Amino acid sequence: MEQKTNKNFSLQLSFESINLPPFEDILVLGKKCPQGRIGVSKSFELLVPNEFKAIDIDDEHVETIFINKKILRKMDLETILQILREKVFPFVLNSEIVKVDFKLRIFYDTFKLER
Amino acid sequence: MEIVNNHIRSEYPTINPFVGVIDIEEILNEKRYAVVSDLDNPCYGILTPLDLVIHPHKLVIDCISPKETILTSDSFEIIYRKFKRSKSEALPVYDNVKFLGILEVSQIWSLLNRSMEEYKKDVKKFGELKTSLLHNLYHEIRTPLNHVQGFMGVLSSMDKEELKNNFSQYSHIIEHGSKRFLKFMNNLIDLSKLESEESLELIVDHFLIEELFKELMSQYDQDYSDNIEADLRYEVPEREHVVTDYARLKQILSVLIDMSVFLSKGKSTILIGCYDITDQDKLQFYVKNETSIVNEWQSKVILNGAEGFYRHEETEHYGFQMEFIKMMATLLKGNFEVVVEQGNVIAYLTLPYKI
Repeated sequence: MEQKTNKNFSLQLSFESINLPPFEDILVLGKKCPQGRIGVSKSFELLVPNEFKAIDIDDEHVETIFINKKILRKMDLETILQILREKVFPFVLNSEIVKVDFKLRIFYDTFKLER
Repeated sequence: MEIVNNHIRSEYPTINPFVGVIDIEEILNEKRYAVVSDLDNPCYGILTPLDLVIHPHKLVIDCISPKETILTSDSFEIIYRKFKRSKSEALPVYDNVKFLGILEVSQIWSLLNRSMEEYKKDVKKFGELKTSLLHNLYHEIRTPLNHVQGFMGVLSSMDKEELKNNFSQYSHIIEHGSKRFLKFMNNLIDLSKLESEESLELIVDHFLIEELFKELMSQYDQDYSDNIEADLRYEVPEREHVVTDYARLKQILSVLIDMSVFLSKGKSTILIGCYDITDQDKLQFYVKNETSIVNEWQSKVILNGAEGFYRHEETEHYGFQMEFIKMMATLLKGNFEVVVEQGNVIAYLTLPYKI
């Protein structure tokens, strides 16, 4: 006896608000990732003009990084690069694009005020 | 500069920098390179299939690798090395900062092949020149020196009476031999200077052509009075004056006369003259051997000798002289050719009125 088969759909739906670009602090581009330096720069300039700085990197796997200028205001570039080289770049593949959260807080020890 | 300027391509495959690489794959596979350009920049760079391997990004402009650029002042060797380093089918050409076009590697190879062919011709030519020169040395140095030595020996063996009777004749022969030798050596030295691209000094002067012809006649009478059965005559030139180097022009015409005398077999008339080519502001000097007839085979040999070098015994004498005259003619901003008309050999030297 022929049984009739009905077609059903199952869907998982969720959504959340995002901001563009989809990162805030630092973006690391691998040398062979799908998006290159110029394309990404141009898209950032269109999305968030003058917010990110592009730095070309002399590394085996990393081509370029984009740093939010807010971070550069708080910490010098060389120190940032040193941290990234030690802590992040060793884990980046040629073909990857990596988003780095770099949350920086500056605080001072207690100090006296001269009156 | 000539190398680059003569080979710049103004038409080449182009692609927009901000398109996806998927869209340009076909062009790249067919042409092996493309110039990335748009209205803002005529050349962002050259994209090759190798670039897509090194930089496998999705946007064309992200895939361009830095490559050498060719300057208009680059020599062939520098261009060759740049292509070798770049591993590219084409490179952009710049005049300082301005983009001029493209040079393709295939053009460099054909240029190299052509240069090699020309180099081979030059090597062959210089080999023939050397052979001809050595033959001339044998003839032009040994013969007059033999005369000088021979007659000096004869003179030294004579007694007073014989010496008194024969001195004038023999001393004239010795003098003639010495002059001939000196003339040949002077021409040889001038040729070697021209071959080594050393400049020969020109002393430019304004003079009467007929006076030059008269001087050539006088020199001919002294040089050939005893030995040759060829008469030298001149026709009144169609133009009176010329402005050029008197000594160099006399040198060339003198060599042409010598060659014509050498060609003469038995009694003949050698005629020199000058046509006025008014519409070109040029003069055409000629040396004709009017009565000595060459056959077809001889004329081919002579004309081939005028174009290059050849080795036949009868006319190998001309090989070195022809090269010398051609170079001297160029020095006077003129040109030289030999024709055979109805069996008569005529040498033409065309010069500007004023150098």
